[in-house]
Amino acid sequence: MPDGAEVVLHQVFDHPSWHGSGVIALKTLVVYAFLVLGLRLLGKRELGQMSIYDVVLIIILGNAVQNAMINNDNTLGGGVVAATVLLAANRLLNVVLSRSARAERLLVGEPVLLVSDGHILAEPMRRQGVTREQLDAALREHGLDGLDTVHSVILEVDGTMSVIPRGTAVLRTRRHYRGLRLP
Amino acid sequence: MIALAGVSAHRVEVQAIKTLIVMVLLVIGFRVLGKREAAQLNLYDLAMLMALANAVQNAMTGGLGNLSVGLATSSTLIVTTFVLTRLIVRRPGLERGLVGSPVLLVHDGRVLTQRLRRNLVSPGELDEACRQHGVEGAGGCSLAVLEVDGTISIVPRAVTKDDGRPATPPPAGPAVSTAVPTPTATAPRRSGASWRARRAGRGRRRGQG
Repeated sequence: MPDGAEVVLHQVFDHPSWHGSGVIALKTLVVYAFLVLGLRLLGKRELGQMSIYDVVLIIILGNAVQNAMINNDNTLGGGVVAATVLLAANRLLNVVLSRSARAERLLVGEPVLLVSDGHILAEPMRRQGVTREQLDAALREHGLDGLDTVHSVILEVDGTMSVIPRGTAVLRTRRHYRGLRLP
Repeated sequence: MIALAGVSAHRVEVQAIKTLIVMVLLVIGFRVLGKREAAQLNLYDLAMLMALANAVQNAMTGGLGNLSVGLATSSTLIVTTFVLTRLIVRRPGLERGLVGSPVLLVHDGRVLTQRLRRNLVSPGELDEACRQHGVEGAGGCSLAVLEVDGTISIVPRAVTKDDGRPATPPPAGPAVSTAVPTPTATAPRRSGASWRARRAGRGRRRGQG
């Protein structure tokens, strides 16, 4: 093998020491856990309801935690270690979220029933900050012009409103929505 | 060259190769560990993506802020994406391997729990997708399919008749049958279909005349 190619290979596949890799992996894990907790405390869990400032916040967060994760490490191995840890941690979180309804309720939130059998539920509407205009807009989006043709309206965890017209297949799943236990 | 000031051409090449390796590893990593339903990212997925982009930043640029390094790494990313897209379009087999194939989640109202788990779709997310299509729950779906672009498609079951809505469509108006004598005689007596038939008949007559 010629000497030049060996040098290039050595420069491309540079990596931190085993100890350094371990530090990067642990730091990345801590940062990810902190991000999940911090965003949960932020209270805004609805991606669809995020304003441009929330998106900017998340981008800046990613930049803010960069050096905390890779510790000024410029090697290929360091980046790969951090990326793998992030992907694996996110995978683990999604596995937990898809299996445990309780964890999903805690971290992602619950859908909320806003209209039941054509009647507006005032209290959930007020608590979720949904105005009558927004509700009417959601109805029009689904091609309905009045509450009397609506079976239910649900505010989803991603911030969108689902409208179920009367006459769809009736199922016994309504206990999943928060707000039905109200009078 | 001004663009290359401060950094050798050799170093720029090394960073371009590193970028290529990072890109390939990320594609593999997302395929193995990533979430299929990219259209339904939650807040934590978004945060992970942003942190990920920054985590691999120094591996790509080597901590160098030079213009030449930035241009080399970004053009490597763009070219890699372009080549990957072309390859996927050219070879359907590769598409199945890299992007995956559609997965049936609900069949005739029966939820296939095993597939839900394997694709990291929670029952709550499935119900949400149903409601967004105007179906109250997974039981009301004839089909629910996780598409390759990450969305969940819903085909509702036939409408039940428990709400007093007329089960049969309203009869066609009397004007329909007189407008075009022969073609609509065999057409189904539904207002929409006969309206289309009438338009077609009118066009044909105008063409002949």
